[in-house]
Amino acid sequence: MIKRIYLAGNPNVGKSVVFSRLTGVHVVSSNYPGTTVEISRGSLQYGDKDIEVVDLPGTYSLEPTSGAEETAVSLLNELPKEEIAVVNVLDSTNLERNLSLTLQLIEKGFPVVVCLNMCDDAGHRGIYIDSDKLSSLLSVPVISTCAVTGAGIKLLMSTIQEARPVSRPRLSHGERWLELGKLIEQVQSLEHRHHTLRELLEDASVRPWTGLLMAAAAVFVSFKMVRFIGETIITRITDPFFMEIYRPLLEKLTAGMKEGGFWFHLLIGDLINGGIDFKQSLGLLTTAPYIEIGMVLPYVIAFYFILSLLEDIGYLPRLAILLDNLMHPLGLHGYAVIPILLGFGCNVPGILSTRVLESKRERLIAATIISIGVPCVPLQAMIVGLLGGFGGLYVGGVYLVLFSLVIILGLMLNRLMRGNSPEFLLEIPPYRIPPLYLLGRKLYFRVKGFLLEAMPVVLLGVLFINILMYFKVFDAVTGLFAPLVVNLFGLPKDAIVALAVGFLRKDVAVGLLAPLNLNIKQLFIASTLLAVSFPCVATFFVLLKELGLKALLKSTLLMIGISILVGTLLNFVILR
Amino acid sequence: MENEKGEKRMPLTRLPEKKRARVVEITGGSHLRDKLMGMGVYAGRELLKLSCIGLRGPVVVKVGRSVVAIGYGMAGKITVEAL
Repeated sequence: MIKRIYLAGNPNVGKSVVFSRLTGVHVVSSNYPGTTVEISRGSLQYGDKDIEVVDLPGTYSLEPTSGAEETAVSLLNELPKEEIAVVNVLDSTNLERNLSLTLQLIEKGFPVVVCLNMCDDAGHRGIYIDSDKLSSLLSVPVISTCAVTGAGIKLLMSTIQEARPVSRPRLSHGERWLELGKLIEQVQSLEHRHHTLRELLEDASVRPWTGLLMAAAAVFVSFKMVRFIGETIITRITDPFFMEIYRPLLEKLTAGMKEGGFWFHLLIGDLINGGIDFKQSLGLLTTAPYIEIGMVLPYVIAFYFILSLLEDIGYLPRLAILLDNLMHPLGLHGYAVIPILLGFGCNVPGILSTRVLESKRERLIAATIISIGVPCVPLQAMIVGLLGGFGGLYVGGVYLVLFSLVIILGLMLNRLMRGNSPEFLLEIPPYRIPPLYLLGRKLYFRVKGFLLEAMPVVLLGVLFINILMYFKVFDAVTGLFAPLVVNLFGLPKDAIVALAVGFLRKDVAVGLLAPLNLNIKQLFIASTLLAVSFPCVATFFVLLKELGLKALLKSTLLMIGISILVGTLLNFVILR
Repeated sequence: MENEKGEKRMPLTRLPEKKRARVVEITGGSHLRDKLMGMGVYAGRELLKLSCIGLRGPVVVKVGRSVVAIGYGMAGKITVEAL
């Protein structure tokens, strides 16, 4: 009896979408190789029992040449072959290369069902595949599917049980490609199509000049769109809600409470000019929800919408090619662009996706750069909220400092660490127009993930700070660090609380700076310090998991050193 | 570097853009060969060079129906014969 079903296939053929369809478990898919960095497991109801389904990382070959491929191969060999079935997912638009893995799976004696995915896209491109003929030539079941719409999935489910090992002679690589050439001639027919606009755009985006123009346009438009969407949500939805509905409600509810009392301090915080000020009151029901929902969430939605769109269209690998030569001096290659871009949303997924990079050295460099020099959306939203009023120059200044840090750090780490950076080798996916519902689902899961992760920490953090402040516990701590912060960074003593809270969550920390009446120079220094100093607690744990304790300690020391250096330099040299 | 048939052999990096070529040899370790093999780049295979990004950027080729970007150093280890 089958105990486990594996989904195997080349990178970026839609395995994760097939997985979602089979199990109902949502996993993130994107139009670039290597999205699956964590192995997803789910189950499929079969008659009266559940069978485990495992989504393997994409592999080109069963003779592993990368970490992801090793994982895939060792998982495949976990159970005896009689107890498993392998659903081999293929990209119909690129049958020849995909079938290489199919032959290997069959030769090794795995019970295989072939799933010809993306068959609609193949049709658009004038590719026709005779799946019955392919099935008889391979002697395994072949099912055409389009996982994005769900077509063929039911048939696939009912066919899995028919998977049987078949005997096929083992071929060498060279023989196998020859065999594939013959197979393809018999099952695939191509209809000549004129170059479509899509193909012209695909070509233009990988040529140097047109590519750079397109990249500049893409980055510019994305940036503008994120700001536009974020600001629209704030001015049209969240601000009216907080100001016109939530505030009057709060004021009614707390009318009987005494200002300055423990509960009032905890829930509402301080009244500013006799009223609630969502940015400065610092209460559990005032500033805490306002920071997350009124200031950060709109930008989280906007950022992930644009990022998901770029991901699913398939633009990011093209950006990676163009930036490859610029990344080499930093000890990285072009593909590191993807984790870094994800890091701008939240450092946690950014660092997790450094797994697409091959060597430990690259992963360490990329993770360090992300945790020090890449500000997440919540931090950026707060910095814009705080400094934006003084003019775009200051906001730009923070980015400039961070960007310089990334360059310096990368150059330094590349020099200091042994080993050299491996070469770039990447398959470039075709452009695809993502179906709106998939985009919407991805956005929904990312935003939900953000809220679930952020809200509890924010509420607990504000609660904790308010209790400590009420009992004046912070005074002792601030006294200890005061010389450093006051003399070196030119910040008031109270800013220490904010800097310390930066360990919990960066957005709350920036929020704590608001009531301190800092001048613009102090705000600039404090915001920059919050961005570069130690990562927030979630990032800290993911660094520990990915890099290990030793590397984490090293990069933490690096961060503390850099913060002190940057704070002092900004205070005495640059912003004098 | 012309051989007796008048075919030109050169590293992939020197092949002009938009030109077809056949892979003759891949030097470097077997690891590299296996990796390229999985993506359909192997000795004897025909490919079309789409573009190369300047300043030692990657070379982009089309093999079969896939588009593959190959780092500059790696592309230097692939000898091709212009067709």
